Amino acid sequence: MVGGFKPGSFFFSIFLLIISVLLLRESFKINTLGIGWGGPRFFPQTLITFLLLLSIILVVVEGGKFFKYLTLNRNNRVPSVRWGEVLPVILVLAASLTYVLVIKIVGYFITTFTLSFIVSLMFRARVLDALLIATVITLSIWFLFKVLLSVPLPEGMFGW
Amino acid sequence: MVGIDVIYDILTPKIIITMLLTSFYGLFIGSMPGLTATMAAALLVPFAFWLDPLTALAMIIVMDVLAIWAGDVPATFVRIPGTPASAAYIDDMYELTKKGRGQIALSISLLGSTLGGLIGVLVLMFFSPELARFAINFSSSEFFWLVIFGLISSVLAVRGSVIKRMTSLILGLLISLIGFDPVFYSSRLTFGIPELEGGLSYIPILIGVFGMSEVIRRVYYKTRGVTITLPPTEFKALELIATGFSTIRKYFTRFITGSLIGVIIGALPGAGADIAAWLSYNISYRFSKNKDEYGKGSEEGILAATSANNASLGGAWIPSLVFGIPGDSVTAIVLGVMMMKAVIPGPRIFVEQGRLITSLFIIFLIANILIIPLGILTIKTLGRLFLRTPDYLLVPAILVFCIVGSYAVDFTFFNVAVMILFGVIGFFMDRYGFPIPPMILGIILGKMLETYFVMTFMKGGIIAFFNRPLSLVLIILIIFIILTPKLGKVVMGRR
Repeated sequence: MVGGFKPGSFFFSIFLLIISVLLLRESFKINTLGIGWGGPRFFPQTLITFLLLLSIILVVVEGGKFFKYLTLNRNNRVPSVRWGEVLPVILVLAASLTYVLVIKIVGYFITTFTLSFIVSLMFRARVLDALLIATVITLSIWFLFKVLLSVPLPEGMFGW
Repeated sequence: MVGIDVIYDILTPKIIITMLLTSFYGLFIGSMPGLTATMAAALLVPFAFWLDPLTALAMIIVMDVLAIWAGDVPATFVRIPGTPASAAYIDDMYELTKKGRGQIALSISLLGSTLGGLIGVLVLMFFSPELARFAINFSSSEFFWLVIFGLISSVLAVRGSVIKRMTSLILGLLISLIGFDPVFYSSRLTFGIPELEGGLSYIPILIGVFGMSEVIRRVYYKTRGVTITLPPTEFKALELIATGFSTIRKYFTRFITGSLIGVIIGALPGAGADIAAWLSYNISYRFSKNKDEYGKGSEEGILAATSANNASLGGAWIPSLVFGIPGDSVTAIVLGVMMMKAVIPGPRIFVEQGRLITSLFIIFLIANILIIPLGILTIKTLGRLFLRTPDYLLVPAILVFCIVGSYAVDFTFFNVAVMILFGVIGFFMDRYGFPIPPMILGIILGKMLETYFVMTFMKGGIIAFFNRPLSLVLIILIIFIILTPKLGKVVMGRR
């Protein structure tokens, strides 16, 4: 790594640039209500223009660092994505999104228990410990939200 | 001054139990490296929905006061700051631990935090009404410049690339503009998604960028618990308190200066305990006769920084109550809770909600005094236990809490999706050096900024922003805070 530079920073800048362009495109759909200075369109469009300029500067600056990084590491290949590090993150995000999709059907208890169990195992808990931890988390959060705060947690087809 | 009705309001079983529970929660969160008081406050918001305003706000006050102090516990024993505020003097704490004086270091921070916090509350109690009377003279133009001042402070108060700090702020402002605009009620930046018409609630965003991103970070780095080997030196509780007091007596000037710096920094919109601690530590170093001790276990430095830490908490409530502008990220959440409970911050709050505000001041005092017994308990026993909580228990608990907490805002899973999305965004922003606080402040203040801009502009065009004396004072203040470091360099260069 050159001066602590992270290659992902360059790609994140490009992502910001794309977001700015999409926002700018979307901002033209805002109705000006016939107001000369832009009315409801003025403020977002001004900010988006700033964001666009900042994103361009970032792409140039980070791009410069990225190509310097490539030049200095010419003999070595640019490090590819380390799937061993990224996969657990993707798994947690996928598990969370699945939780959101499934909870309405299956209900709070099974989904919360499963999610806690999986994440606990990912952090190398023993199976018995993970089972215990998942049970404690599921019951304590149910107690806090459902019993103490009367939050209507999804019950699903089993009614719990 | 304190009516008997206020005492009755506070001395209810519900409030006493809530204060006790949240004080332990604050101690726990503060003691856990990586978990911040802001995240803890965000996780309390779903509970606030179901409580009366006084209990809801008491919950956050007590948690915040205890968490900021408890951040020193892991800083002392494993050199990991429990909260960002503890980072300024972490080396001094750890060096004292290596010398077998870790408990003494914590007792200095305990007393410094308690008494500094009390000074902050006294300033809040006695100067907030004056500020309120002053604020009545504020028009939309002054409020516009005040919001600008807060936003610029948030950009100046964080480290890193100016471009990245600005980008973070603008992103936050744009996020706040999604949905119907506050003046003309036009739909904006929704990309045709109906759920976005009403705008994004900032609570799931806060839970996402602080809580969910922490889960992602821990999964990514697979952080392991640190094995702690504490020196065998043990001190008695009374010995710890006596040492704390004698250190304050010895370095009384540092203590008073630190507390005042804390109050002033806290009162600035966007600046919080961490900035106060850094500034106070640096100023203390500059004027110290024992410069060599700094970084190697300076009790003077610890006292200066810790007294600023907790004094800033009271200070941060001044702009929040008087102007409705958060002094730090916790008071940003407090403002959200206040609005949720129809307690509208502003100059008239002391008249319209006088009883509630007096009760809050008393709770603030109690919370600061609570640090002593609970802190001693933590120093003696709980600190080590908390630090050994393994990730395989902590991470799933935070994750489920984030999901259920976001869902509880309005019982929709759209908010959970928003929380997860902002968790990912927060993770990448942090990883690539984009500071989170300007974005958060942008989200909180964005609509307010636009409203005051449009109101002022429609009143008299561009000139309306500059034709009032108070506006000019604020503009000069903004220019001053931007130029201060450069002016300092010029002055130092001439010397």
